[in-house]
Amino acid sequence: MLLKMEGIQKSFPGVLAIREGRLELEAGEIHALLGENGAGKSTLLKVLSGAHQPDAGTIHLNGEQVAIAGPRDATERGIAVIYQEFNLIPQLSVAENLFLGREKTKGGFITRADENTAAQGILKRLAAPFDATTPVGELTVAEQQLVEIAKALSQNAKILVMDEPTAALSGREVDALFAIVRDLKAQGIGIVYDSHRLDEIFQLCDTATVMRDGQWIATKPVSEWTRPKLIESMVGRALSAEFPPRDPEQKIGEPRLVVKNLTRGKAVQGVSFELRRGEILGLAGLVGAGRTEVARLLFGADVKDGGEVILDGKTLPLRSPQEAVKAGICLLTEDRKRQGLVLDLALRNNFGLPNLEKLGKLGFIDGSKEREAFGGYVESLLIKTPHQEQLARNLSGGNQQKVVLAKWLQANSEILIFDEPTRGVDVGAKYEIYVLMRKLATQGKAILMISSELPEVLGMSDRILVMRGGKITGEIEDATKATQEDVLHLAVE
Amino acid sequence: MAVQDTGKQSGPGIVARLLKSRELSVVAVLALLCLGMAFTEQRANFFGPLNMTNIVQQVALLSLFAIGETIVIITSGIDLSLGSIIAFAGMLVALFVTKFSVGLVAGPAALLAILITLLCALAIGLLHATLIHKLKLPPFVVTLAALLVLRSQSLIVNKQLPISLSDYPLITDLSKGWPLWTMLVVVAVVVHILLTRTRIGRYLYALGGNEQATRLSGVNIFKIKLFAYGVSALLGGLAGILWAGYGRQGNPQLGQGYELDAVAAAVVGGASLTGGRGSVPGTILGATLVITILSAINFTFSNPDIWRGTVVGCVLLFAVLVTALQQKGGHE
Repeated sequence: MLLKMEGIQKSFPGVLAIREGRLELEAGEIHALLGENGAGKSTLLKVLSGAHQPDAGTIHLNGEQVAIAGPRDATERGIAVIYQEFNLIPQLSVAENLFLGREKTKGGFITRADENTAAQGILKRLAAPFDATTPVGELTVAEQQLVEIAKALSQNAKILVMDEPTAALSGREVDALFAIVRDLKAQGIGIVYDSHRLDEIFQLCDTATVMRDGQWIATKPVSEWTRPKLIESMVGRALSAEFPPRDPEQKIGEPRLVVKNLTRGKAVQGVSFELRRGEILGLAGLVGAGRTEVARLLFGADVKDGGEVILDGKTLPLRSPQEAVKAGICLLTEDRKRQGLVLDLALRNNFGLPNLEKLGKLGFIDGSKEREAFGGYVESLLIKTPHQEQLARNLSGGNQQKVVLAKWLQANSEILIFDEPTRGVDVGAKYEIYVLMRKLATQGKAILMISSELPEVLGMSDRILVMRGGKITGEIEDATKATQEDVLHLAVE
Repeated sequence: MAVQDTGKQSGPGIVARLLKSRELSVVAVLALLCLGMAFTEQRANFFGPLNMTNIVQQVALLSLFAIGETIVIITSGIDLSLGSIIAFAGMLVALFVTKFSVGLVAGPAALLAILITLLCALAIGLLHATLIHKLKLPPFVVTLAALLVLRSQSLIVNKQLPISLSDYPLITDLSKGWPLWTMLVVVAVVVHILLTRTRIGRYLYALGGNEQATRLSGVNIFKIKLFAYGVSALLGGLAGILWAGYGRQGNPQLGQGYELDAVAAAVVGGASLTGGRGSVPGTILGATLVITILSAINFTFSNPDIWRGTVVGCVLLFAVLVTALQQKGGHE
């Protein structure tokens, strides 16, 4: 057995992060580690990578009991972790990144040629389509991930931990990544795979371990798991369905937002569509197809080169987000931490940002009005927080998304654009977000939903648009009858 | 973790917040310093009315423009031009008042000169913000350029010579006694209320915390930057007029390095150079601590001038360290 972690316990001041952590990994095995945010997965992985010291429990590597003193010790023992946010320096070349901290030197000088040759060898093993001398900043996200994998290989990693490796990849890039991961498996490397996308677990992994509330729940071969069983173990209760049923009260009405020939550079080329009252319109496509760019144009975050946007019969100039917000359009961005929230500001203050004109007079803020308004949303959207002054960074993904939603509902948004509405949101909280979206549609709001997860697109949309290369390549009128293949067919060349 | 659903609670209690607050720790250090001074042979001089008046006046002069610097630091920017603005404004006001007093009586001439000088300072700040926002230039570079240009212009306007203000009591009297207190109190109270109670204050902190998220919340961030750099330069201009009055002349050499004193006061008072943190009471206390330490050095060291940098530098480092520790504690 390559790795055996048993009875791992870890607490932080005031929080018991892991009650009982357990993980067994064989050489040449792809092992999924699953659980909601806060289940203790990342703490367990940090114990493995030496970032945290466990309070109790044992770790065996190749049958020998070890204590992992720190990150450097972990690397030397052949444990490599690829985090969701890469540890790469964009200005440095691929080779320089690979050997950062352990440069090849002769007489105190870096031997650049040696580094490049060594790096080139590893890149070849991965069939990487770029050169070792390329600056990392010029690579795509998928290519940067290859650099991270190459780094692990250059450190002779025997255990490779991958944290949400596909979160930012498009369909084809995911396939390429899977091929590489399977190749690493064939080379005898043990892989711990952490992902929120359950489909991937069934496609790729051999074994799955589920954790919940800091507690090991079960480890079984993937063939013995089913999707509902996995979700049930993760959430701790049976979920009746992944998506709430359509409300019979939800009536699709007249077109509210009419987009004609929207254009910006190469990213968005002549996009036209209508968004109707009470409708959830899915916008599908691969990463880079131009979906987020369309959303940003509709929100005025970027300025369009050409085209027309008409809301309820009125043409909107859309030169800035302020104008869009005033007109009743809002955007829930895909990257909440960087674009959606000011993380070091209290929840209530984040909520207030677009709404202060209404929550006060003459430039002053009426704190009690703001508290009251936000309190209403905390109750109606079921935002879980000890108090309104909590910093946004301390909330889980699902609750952060609800705070962003509250902020826009208070701003009287009529057109809601959700870009990846459930990215980084737990399975249980996902359902709550879906229920809220359905409710809003039933109230007559119009929703444009961008999503890279096909089950979500099919499960939530009333109608689906598919984009590729900045253009709309097709429309599926009745989403309930569509299949994943129908959408993919339109999304790829 | 125990979690409540309603979120109606209003956060940690006042006592807990006060204990953790930066203001209290600065006051504690100040108290210790004064206690220490009470055991030196110089205590009579240090606590004497002359030195106390002097300390208070210096604190007021520094606080005025340190408050402006704080506003800019809150937005995660920096204003390095303040020292040069102080010299430039001093030169301008002296230049204008001598020009105007040819046709006007001294009183109105002085008022007019002050008004125009303040408008010039404001325009400089608005220009900073425009360059920073529209051309996406780093605040450090823009205000560093202004530091160099304005210092040089201060020298050029009157061929490197100071301009006397002895004939204009309206200007020389501004920098002492009740006019100075009134100005400081008004500026401090107004800015404090702006920061804590108004939209613009909320936007300033949000901008410093996350510019993108603030923009995507529908906030006009250009206006916020205009405000921050405008107020900073305006207060710099006001400080320049007061310093000129204090020295009874417009002096092109004045104010070298003052912008860094302002940064030091803000940071000691709890402002974070990465943005999103800072307050008026903190900055005034920070200015008080810096000035008091300098005064204490004057009385206890045989050669105070050469020790000044070492002591202020160490205090600054210590303050940043404390901020870092507090932030770490807050996030875990």
